[in-house]
Amino acid sequence: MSYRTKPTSLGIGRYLGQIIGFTIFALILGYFSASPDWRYFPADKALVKLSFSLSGERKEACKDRTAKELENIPNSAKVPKSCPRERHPVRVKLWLNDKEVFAGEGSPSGLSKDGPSQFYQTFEVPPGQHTLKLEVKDGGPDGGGFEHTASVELRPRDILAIDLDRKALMLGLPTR
Amino acid sequence: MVLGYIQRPMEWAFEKAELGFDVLFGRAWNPLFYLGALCYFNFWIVAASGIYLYIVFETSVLGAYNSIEAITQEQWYFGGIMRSLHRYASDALMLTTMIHLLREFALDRYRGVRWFSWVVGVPMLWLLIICGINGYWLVWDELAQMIAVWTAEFLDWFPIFGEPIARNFLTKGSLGDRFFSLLIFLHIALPLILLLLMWIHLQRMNRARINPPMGLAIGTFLMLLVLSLIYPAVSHPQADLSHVPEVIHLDWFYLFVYPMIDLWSAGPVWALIYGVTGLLIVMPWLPKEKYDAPAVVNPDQCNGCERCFDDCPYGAVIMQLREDDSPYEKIAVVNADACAACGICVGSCPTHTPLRRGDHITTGIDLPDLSLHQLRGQCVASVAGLPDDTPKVILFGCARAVQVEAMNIPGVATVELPCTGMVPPSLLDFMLRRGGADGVFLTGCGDGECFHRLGGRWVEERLDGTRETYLRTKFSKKRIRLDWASSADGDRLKEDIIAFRDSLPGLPDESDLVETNGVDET
Repeated sequence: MSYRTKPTSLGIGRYLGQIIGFTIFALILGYFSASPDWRYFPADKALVKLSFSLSGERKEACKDRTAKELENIPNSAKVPKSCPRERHPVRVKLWLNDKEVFAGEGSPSGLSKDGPSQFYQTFEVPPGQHTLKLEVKDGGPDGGGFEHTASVELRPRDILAIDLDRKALMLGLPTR
Repeated sequence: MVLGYIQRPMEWAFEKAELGFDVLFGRAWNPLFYLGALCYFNFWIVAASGIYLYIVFETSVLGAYNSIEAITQEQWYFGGIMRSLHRYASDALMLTTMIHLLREFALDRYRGVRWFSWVVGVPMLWLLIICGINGYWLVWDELAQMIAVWTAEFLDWFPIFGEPIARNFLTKGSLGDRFFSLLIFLHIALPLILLLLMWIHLQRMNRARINPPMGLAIGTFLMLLVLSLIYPAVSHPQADLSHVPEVIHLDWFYLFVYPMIDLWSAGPVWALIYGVTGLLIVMPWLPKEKYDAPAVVNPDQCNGCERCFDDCPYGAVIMQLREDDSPYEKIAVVNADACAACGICVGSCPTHTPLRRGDHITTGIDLPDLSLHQLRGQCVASVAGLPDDTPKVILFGCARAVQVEAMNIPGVATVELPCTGMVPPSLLDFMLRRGGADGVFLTGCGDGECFHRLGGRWVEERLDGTRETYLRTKFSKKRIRLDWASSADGDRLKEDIIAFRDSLPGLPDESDLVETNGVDET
């Protein structure tokens, strides 16, 4: 265009300029798409995951409704027993090789506090033979509970998953 | 304002980089002028390569990894390239998006009438990152395993999901094939939502460029193709929920948040995400951009030609059917909320052509704070104040580029405009024929970097005679010079202005053309 000051141009060298420009862009893409590495987990450790979902005992036992109480209940909801929904929190302790590594309390889930308590904790441990003891209190401060013990051997980068199926211990270990 | 202290060095750096890219790529293909279009272009490459990957992808725990490995290893010549293109175009999309965001911030193009595009861009950014993370999850290698566990633990920081999501990745048996059906559904649905937002992002931008120049597009594609051949995307070892990955080759364009979670834990990272998002959303009002009064339409003059409607960079002018007794069918109406008072509509309006010396100028659309009548008066007075012993040049500049009023070049009168696109060609005609100027010099931020988006493009096309309103002068074209320059290019511009001024005495005296070929002013 005759009105315009001619912009700086490299002529044929412009193509070389574009190759340089695109090469720089490609190097940035190629490098940062997979580098630098991130050390996600130490090579000389194993991982223990304590995770389960367990409902605590009901806070109040079911009781029989009186005839008078039943009269005031619509027919569709007329059941002879009244069962308050709220449950106790679940308290958990975990020992590894006789050393306590976790102690915690899980509140019952749900707006009415009638759902299961949830746990998810992870611990890095050295590889080798480990004895674990899991103590669970699901019946309130004075209530009952249960405990499990087990012995496991962990190799570096192994994941041990400690889970419960109802009250039975479920250990997830790598297949050898 | 604190943001200003960050903005200024960034603006300087971007303007220097633009000059560098001008040299490397040429101005017409300068990638910094087409960042938004390059985002679209990369999106299409991702979409096209993704369709092929979807065809071969198996939605199961074992099939996910094996199907991707099969195309990577056994079908490297096509499937592997498609996979690599999918990754590198995604990375290029993220990179161009981030540069686009930073450039718009640095050049102060996120406030005022641009607030809508900026605010819509914030969820787009997060959605893009989520799409990328979602994609890496599909491969179900050690990287995917890490992302899955980390994401679940990160989301579980908010105890709103009932059972912890991370329990889904507790052991090998925890994960079902349906999970991958959900992932692939998300990996199609989320990009479609992103595309919808990309469309909404441009709704208040008239004539937004969504395609880069052909040469730049071909170069970008070839670059991605060569990179895919030289350095193909590969998987980590297959995911194994009974073993922890040790070292991960992270894609830092999308997965940068995970090391932050690792270092700082989930709470601070959530706080950072909310903080950054909140800041980005309120930035257009920190402080709010202040414009002069919006353009006004003079119903008596408007003939409904639609040129202002066509030229407005922000879609602030709309055409409505007239309800008065005017012979014209339509009238332009200005949406004051969308008007940046750039004056480009004034430059496009033909109703004042040609300009006369004595009359009060009334034009179809005008700026109340700098009417065309005032502008003409300012031009004439400026040139009249120049000494007679040097050629007289009137220099039109834009308030967003080199500050022309600070140049102080002998023989050069300066007029600073909201945008150079405000200058109607009729004013150039007038200044050469009746306004006492020997030459007219126009500068500003040009096409591609124009603050008001389209001003530079329209000036070029009007002078070229490819866009109305046309330049009607019969003077030598050498008496008009157009030279775009950013703030970083002031020294070079000054040299060009002086050279232009000094070239004027050598031009033939063509004042007779006014008499013989001058336009009809009756």
